[in-house]
Amino acid sequence: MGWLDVLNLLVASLLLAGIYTTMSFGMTVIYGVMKIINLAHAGFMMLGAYFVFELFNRLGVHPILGALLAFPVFFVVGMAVHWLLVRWLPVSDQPTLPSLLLLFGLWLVLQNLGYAIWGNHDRSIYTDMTLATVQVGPLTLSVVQLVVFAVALVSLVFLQLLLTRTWFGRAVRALTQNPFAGRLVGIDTGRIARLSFGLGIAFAGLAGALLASLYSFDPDFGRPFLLRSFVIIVLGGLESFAGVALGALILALVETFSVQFVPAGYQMAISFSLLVVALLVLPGGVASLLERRGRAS
Amino acid sequence: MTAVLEVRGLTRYFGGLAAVKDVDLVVPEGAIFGLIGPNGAGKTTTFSMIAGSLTPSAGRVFYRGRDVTRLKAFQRVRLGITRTHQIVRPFRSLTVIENVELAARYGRRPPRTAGEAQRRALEVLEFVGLGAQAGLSAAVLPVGQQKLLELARALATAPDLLLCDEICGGLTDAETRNVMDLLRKIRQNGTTILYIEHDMRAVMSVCDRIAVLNFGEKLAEGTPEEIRTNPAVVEAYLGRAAEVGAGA
Amino acid sequence: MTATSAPVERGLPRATATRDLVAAAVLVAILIALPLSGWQGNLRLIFTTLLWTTCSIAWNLVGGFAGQVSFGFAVFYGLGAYTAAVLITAGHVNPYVAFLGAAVVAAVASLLIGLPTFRLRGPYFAIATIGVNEAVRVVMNNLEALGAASGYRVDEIVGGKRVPFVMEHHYLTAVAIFAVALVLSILVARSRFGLALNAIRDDEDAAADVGVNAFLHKLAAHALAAALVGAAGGAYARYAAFIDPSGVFNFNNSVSILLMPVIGGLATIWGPVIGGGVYGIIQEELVARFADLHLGLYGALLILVILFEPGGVVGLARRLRTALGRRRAPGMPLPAGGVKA
Repeated sequence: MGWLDVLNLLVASLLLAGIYTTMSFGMTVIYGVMKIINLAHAGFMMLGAYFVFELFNRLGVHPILGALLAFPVFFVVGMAVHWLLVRWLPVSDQPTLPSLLLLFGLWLVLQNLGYAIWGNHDRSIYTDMTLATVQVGPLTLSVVQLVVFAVALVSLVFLQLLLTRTWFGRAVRALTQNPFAGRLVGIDTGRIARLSFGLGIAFAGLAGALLASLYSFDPDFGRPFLLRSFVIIVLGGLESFAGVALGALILALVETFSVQFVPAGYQMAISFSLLVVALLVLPGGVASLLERRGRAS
Repeated sequence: MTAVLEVRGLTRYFGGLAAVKDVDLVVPEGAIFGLIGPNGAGKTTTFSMIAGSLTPSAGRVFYRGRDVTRLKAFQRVRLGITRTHQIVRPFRSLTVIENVELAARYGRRPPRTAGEAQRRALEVLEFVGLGAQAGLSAAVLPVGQQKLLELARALATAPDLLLCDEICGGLTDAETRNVMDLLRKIRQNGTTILYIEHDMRAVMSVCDRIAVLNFGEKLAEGTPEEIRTNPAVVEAYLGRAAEVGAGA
Repeated sequence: MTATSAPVERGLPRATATRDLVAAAVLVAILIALPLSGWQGNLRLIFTTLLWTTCSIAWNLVGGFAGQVSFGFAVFYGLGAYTAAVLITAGHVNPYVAFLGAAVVAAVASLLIGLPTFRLRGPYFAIATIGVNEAVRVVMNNLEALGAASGYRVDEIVGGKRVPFVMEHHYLTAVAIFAVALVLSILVARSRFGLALNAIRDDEDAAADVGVNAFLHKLAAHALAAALVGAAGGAYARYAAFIDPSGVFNFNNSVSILLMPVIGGLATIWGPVIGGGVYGIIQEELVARFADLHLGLYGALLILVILFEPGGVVGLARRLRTALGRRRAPGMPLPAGGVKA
């Protein structure tokens, strides 16, 4: 591998890490506030992809615009799902068996809904952008990837502002760190949970919608991304928002470089191995490493 | 008297903040040793490190001269160190007697048969006054009885050193007096007790030696009389009496 | 946690174990008597139902008693199937020894998932099991030595001749594996081990504080469950005479295996048996009639059970019994927590 190849792969990893971060944030927000592993994440990502697909096919809405529309729509969908199903679950400071099973059940239903409506054909979205490239110095970059990366970045900046500048963000961070203290200082946990769930689903929908411009998809589209999201948030230490971005970058690097040596079919196995290695070597995630260094200094 | 428990330089940081800093304690055999301090003084953190449910950032814990710092909570129970919890944690899907039976079967000197375990569990339940509730689900007990169940479960492990965490919080005066009597009896039966309490009166009435924690550090140690008249202790308690902290 | 709570009589473990063991013995005796009595019914259906029920009982040991949800039990089923298939075909091992080998391989595999994840507090185990299913299927799909995606043919050859297919042999094997699973489940539920698993499900830290080594207990329960599922997979491989990764390692199998005990009643002895029985009997019909919808139906069923009757069929029955008992004798005290179950 020449240096140019390495550079190309590094840039590809970075671009991939952007969308991976967006995708995983949805899961982290929900886990942080409610200690629920959203197994239906994959289902909402898939719906996000078909949302863009339908808007594009029926109304000619550009897929990137469609993805931006997906965010508010899925926010509302998420709040509705919380109101309808999730709020009945017992509150706990760790994932409970009912919460895992309920959201797993929801995933199965969503996936099946996908099959019932769209069948099991592979779909993809082609626009003028799809095959376009730009030349940046020695690198050839795909326009779609750049645009998707840009939208992902914007969504992350938005989240960052939301978490640091608003009342809602402060409540989310308080609950993430200590649910009991949060309740003591008078946070309306039910309302925060509903909003957080909405936000988590909004990010899942957005991520799915963006990925629809990059890859072909079918109703089982979210599954590999579900595992990736897990790997990323475990690498990130489950509750750290900064850790998630780092985790996403690590996974993106591992995937991008491993494709050079391992058949693409093994991607899932690679994600899984990374998960196990992370659990063995770094059980607290990247975030714990950061904290440990902070303490030593 | 030999030391049942000796703690040296115990320290724990949470995200850069010291919850407990450089605490030394020596608990002699047969004592009821009080550990008091205002809310947030680091009592429960100290406690969790002695029980083994929290790893210290620095310092060592010795039990009868043996370094147990690296042992896990379940291993310490088998040696004879058992704790109760400030916020009760019964096994809600089990009955009262099953809660206690489990502790008997996994504690120090486990009985050989299920029948014997059951007998011992019933004995302990009757000792704390829960004999009549043996068959109920642990989840339906009122708080006062759940506190007694905490105590019974810890006792069933046949502890040599019993760590009691604010067992009187939320109890009525009559219930508190009852628990104090129980602690005295437990000590008479040969168990050393390390007792955390926020309620000064309870501690003063039952302990023979008391250490005071404040902001994670040991402020004073002595007999109840010495502690009562120690100006630094009075300052720490009265000076912050109006404050409401978030957990001990 | 909304899973089961024990009724009062749990205070007398040996007495109830006897009652359950007698019930189990009667059930197994009936199952053995069926083919011997010249019954002309559908042995194949009962055979598959028994294998499913074995998996259901096994899942309940980990997911029900210990409260550790696994989405990857098909891995053990598949590994058991392949182990038995290879031992019988290439190793010319006695099939019953091969089933034992299948159980051992599955149990060892369970440690590979349990060792990194059970050590930690938090949802790591459940997360890892989602991935392991897919990861192993992909690897098996590409493993040329075992036929990769095109599968593996099981040939049982003794003395140079292929052993003929005798349904009764397969059927009795399934009955035996089921019987072992059921008896183990009863013994676990009524033992010190089972009591500790319940405690771990309720509050892992509090369990450690009374001397329970939670890590070891979870590992042991998982290994025991994996061994049972592995043996069931082995029995299936010999019966089917052909296995492939997309069949035995199918994610749908993992889903079905967790669905049965949830429907029947988690953390109970008879819930997984009822769930397995019901599922096994309607399963073929369901898959045939709603080929495209059955996973969605399972999902909807899961949601309904969790929201409305977390105790499953057994919980519902207990609730009905309590309600009826109350009407008959208003002065009677409620059984402890029985309503919740």
